[in-house]
Amino acid sequence: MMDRVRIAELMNQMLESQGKARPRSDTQLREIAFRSLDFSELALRVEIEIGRELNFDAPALRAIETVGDVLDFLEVASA
Amino acid sequence: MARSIAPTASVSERATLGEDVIVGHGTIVYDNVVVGDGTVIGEFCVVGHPSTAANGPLRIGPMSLIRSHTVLYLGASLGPKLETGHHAVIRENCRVGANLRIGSYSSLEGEVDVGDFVRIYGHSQIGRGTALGDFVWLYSLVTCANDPLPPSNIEAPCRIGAGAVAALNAQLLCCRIGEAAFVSAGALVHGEVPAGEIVRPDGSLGGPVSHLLHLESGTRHPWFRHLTGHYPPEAEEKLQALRNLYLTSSGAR
Repeated sequence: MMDRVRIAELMNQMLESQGKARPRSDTQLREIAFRSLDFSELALRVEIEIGRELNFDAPALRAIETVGDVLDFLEVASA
Repeated sequence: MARSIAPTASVSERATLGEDVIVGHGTIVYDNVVVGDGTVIGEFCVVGHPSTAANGPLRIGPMSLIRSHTVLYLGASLGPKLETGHHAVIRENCRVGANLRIGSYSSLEGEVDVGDFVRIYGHSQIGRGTALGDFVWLYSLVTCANDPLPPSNIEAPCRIGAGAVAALNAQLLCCRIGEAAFVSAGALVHGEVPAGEIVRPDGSLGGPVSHLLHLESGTRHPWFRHLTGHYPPEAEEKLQALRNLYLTSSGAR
């Protein structure tokens, strides 16, 4: 499992490359215009770092609305 | 319901209309046109537009809906349940499968091969010689270019695999796109896109389409995992085959 702190670092790197400030965990994704393509890029970065595919079937598919939700999802998917 | 031809329409005696065909006002149906049963042709269409390059008659499958101002050239073979938007153009020698929906102001520029159940939204231009697999989705303003060195006589038309999606305003330049790939809105695409890959807006590859989520609902690609009820019942067998192929193949996830 990739730890949540590292996933947050990867997310922040992505957002900073887009000229965005570091969000808080409770920041709504729509506030920072974090969309499905951004999510897919972050997932790919996590996969590259852990050297294997994420298991998208593992996390319960529920609404992903905040930065914290993204971190939760990818943490479980990387287990 | 009997055949119905508007008094202002002009239908050649050498055209063959099936049962219950309707032809709207101002439409011209030229020689060597065969129209299947139950097809409705709207107003001011040109059906069987002459072309010296045409290699045969124009055939329109049964139960089609040809909306007003559509232009269909001789030599095209169009499958059943074709549906055109207004001002659509299908040029000579296109070979089109079942239930193509092509939106308003879109065009197939000749010699285009289209699989079954393809969806092309409005204002798209599909270059000469392009090949589209079954269940391809091309959203509005998509261009499929076929000249790698414009202007030249070199032809390198796009090849787009079954189930692939090109979102709004994607520009596909002489490329090959694998099955179930997803091209982002506005992307400029060259070269080869592997099956099941995302193409990002900057044209780079962005990982598997199964990473593409609608964040609020958890719905995720490939689209044939979740989209239901869109196609006619006869599509289901082929759609299931696509699911089986894609969702079980080791090369795509």
